[in-house]
Amino acid sequence: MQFAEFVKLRNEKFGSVVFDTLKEKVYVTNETAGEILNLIKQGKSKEEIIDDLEENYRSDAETIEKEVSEFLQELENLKVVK
Amino acid sequence: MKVKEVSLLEQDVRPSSVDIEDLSSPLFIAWQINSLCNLDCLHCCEEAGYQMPNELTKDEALDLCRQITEMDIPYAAISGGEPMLCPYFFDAAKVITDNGISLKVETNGHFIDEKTADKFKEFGFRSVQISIDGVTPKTHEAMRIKGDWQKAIDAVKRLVKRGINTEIVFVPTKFNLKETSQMIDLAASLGVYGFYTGKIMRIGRAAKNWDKLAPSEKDYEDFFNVLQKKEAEYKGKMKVYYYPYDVVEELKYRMYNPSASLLIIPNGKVKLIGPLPYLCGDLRKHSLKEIWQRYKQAWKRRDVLEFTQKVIKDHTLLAQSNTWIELDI
Repeated sequence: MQFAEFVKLRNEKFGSVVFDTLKEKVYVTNETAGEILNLIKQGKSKEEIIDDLEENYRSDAETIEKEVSEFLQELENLKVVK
Repeated sequence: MKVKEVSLLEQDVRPSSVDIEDLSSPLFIAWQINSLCNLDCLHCCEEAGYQMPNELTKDEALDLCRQITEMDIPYAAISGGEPMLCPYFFDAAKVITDNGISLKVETNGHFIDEKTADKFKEFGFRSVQISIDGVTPKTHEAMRIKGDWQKAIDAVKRLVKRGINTEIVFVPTKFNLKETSQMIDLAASLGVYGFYTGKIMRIGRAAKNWDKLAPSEKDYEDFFNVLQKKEAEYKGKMKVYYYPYDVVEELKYRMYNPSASLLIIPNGKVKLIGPLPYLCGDLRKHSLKEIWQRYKQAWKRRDVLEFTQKVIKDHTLLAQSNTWIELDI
């Protein structure tokens, strides 16, 4: 999984800013979503992202998997990732 | 873990909810790299033509590019004057693009020959925006004095041929408004990525030529109807983008919702916003980081807000936008 061309990520205190500079659309996220976006930037797959979050959060695996899947789907719908 | 969509740029849709206080640095830099231009357009907001006294040197310009990189600013646009007349244009563009920043270039297209188009491709620009103001040389050149419609069209063709995201920007005036529909069809036939337009801004030379240029409200009504129709027609094929607000409406909004961007003029001074005369920084005195803080402070000043209100009431004051006032911050 990777960002679409001309999509840029910047970390901020509140989380992150994703800027699709081609479409000139800005998206802001909270810290957790920012963490996922940074993992995408590192080129991690969906499974690797879920594994990483399971290690860092105390939520059950099922909840994490569901939330990550929904978030990634949202990013795909926005064409932020490909 | 939901993402929230908001708008950023002055050209973008409302409402914006990016609070600049929350941002560590701007999200966009609009850089007028020079003031020299080979054209003398009736509607030029910057009143470009001749070189501005004391423009940034190459070293100073490259230092600005490094600061843009260090501040992790994701997106920049280089315009002019005519940026291709700037002797260090490619040096500056290289620092920006080599550091992963999206770069848009705004040009009249006159200097994009085959070799230059190849170079543009190598640089991987986010897009190249060419100004075309009519479907015929006669219309285009009536507004763009000394302009050459064919050269602009040829530039578009060269860029599109190389797969470069190419945008056409069209400024509606009394001269060309009736050609809007044909102009969008022409853009589509050329295979461009996007067609951009919006109400003419009453600043710079456009303010001086206002009576000659400005369409009537009825004209604008027809114009936006055409745009809506064409947007639907080309959906999924070409982006038809139009900003529906004029410069005064923009000011009313921005005085309470400043854009997360900085506008740098050729001498290294930084404007608060295009339509106002205020300068909030100077790259020869302040770092870009300092200027970002000064920009935030400037928008809270009573004198700035009061003058903005005056401009909103008296549109003729927009003509002062290029008579700069340095804010003592």
